[in-house]
Amino acid sequence: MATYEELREAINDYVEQAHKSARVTRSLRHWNCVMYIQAVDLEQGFTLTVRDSRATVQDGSCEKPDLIVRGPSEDLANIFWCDVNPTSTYMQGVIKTQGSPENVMRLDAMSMLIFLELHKE
Amino acid sequence: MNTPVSLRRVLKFRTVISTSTGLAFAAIGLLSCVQIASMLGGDSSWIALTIAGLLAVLAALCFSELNALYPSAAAVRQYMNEAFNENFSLIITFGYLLTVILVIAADSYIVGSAITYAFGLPDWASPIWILALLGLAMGANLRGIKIAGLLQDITTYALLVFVISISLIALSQHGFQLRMPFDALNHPDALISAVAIGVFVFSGFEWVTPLSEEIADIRLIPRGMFVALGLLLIAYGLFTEAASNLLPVHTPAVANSPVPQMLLGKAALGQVGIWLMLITTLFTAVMTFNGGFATASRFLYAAAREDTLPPLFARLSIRYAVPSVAVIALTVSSAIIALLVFLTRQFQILILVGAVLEAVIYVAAGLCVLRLRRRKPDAERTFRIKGGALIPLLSILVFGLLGVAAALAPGTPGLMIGAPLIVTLAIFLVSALYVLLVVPRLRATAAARRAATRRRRPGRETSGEEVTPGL
Repeated sequence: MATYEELREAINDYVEQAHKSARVTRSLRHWNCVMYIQAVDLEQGFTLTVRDSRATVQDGSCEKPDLIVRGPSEDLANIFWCDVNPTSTYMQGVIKTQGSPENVMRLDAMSMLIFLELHKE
Repeated sequence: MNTPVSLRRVLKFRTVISTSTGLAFAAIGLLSCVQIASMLGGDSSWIALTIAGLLAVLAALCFSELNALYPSAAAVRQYMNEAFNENFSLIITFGYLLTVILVIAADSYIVGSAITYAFGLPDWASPIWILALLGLAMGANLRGIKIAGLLQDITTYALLVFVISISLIALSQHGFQLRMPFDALNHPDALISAVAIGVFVFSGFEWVTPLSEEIADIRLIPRGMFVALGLLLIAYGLFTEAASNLLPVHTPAVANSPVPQMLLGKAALGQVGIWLMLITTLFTAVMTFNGGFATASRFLYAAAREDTLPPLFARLSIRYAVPSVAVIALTVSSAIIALLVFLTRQFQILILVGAVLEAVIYVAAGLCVLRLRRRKPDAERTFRIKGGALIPLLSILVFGLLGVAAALAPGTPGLMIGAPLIVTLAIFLVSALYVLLVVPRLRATAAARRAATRRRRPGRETSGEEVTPGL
């Protein structure tokens, strides 16, 4: 199980990596989405907002989200560090989502692009 | 613990119904209805359709319980994975994917033929229209254009209104008088074959289950499927009765026509009927292309991300986050099948193979229900079929028999007995060989790549087997 701080650090890094990559920024350009990341074994979740090609993260739920991602804190932390493939975790039923498949697809695409950027050398 | 958070936007019940109805209402369904009418005497085709509709309820019940257990967009893939194993799940899901491609191919062929017929163009214009339509659908999908929500509802309900209205007008021409409405009961062998095709007419209604991630109450999914089956029975039933009432459905000219719906429109309302039926056919294509492309391309993308398809299929259009290679591959596959059908004029094989594939899926759904009840007896289910194992067992038995009936295809003119069986076996053989021989290699390559990757998470920076990064 990851702690609240560990999960927050993972999401912060995810957002930082997203902003570093021109391809990820380009992929965010046409996407506005409020995501609620809920670790089922922690007290509090996070809101990841994508708007105007920028991603921001806040503690708790700020407004009604377009997408909810639920899962154990350990798996969520691994996903946001790009150490684990979100699609496999989702297909195994470990991570659950609520929202439109377009948003799920875009979030997964964002993870893939960040991963590719991190390992392109 | 976490306070409950609800989605800003959830789908309404009317959209659940329209999705289930729209995905099942394909142009190939109209041709299948005329095939059913041509197999049975008089105006008795309603019997086959009603039986098929009631049998589809068995499958709907099984899917409702499975969806209640796993309300996920992964749907069939996840049910079969949990109930059996990954290989079984992949073999069946790849077969299922082919049903989607067959329907897209069939619809492009039918719509291309309908446009050619409506404008009085020469026959060679059909393949041009087929390619143009598929190109248009591909372009729209690559740009992430999708008909959803209210527009989808309007399209589906307008489609139903058009089909029902034209059918009623056609039936009124003979004062709603039916000829030998119970004749099918005297020919049980033909009735069974007709019911087998009828199963294909309703197929696709279950593709609504992935919507369970977009609604507030997943109990709306079973309700939506049952309402959709009722609407489909009314629309298809009236269309079939109208066709058998007004057209010489037993003649090869109608039974083998790729545009019997246009012939019905013309017989009922003349040129106006032709235009109305063209609009109806275009609506069916819009729904098929809209739902089919999105579902199938996302499946291909997810399969590539899971290392069960080559990484190429996970390639994205960055701007629209659309799996571009998957969309192009689907278009090319559908175009090849549609052009083959155009050249051979053998659309009946598409209907029969589609019927067998759907029967296999429904049998598998029944097996999954029984297996998961044993494996996960205490898991929470918001929907559980009453009557113990009766319904899943009935589903396995009935769809198994209907699958055999469709696979053997006795009495289908111009088609060798057993041809659909050979094609279906070939599909599953290829799928099984791919899953057993190619997928392990893809996974081994991906595992080697993972082993060379250092973990980024602080405190866990080693490379390891549990690391399953993106591509």
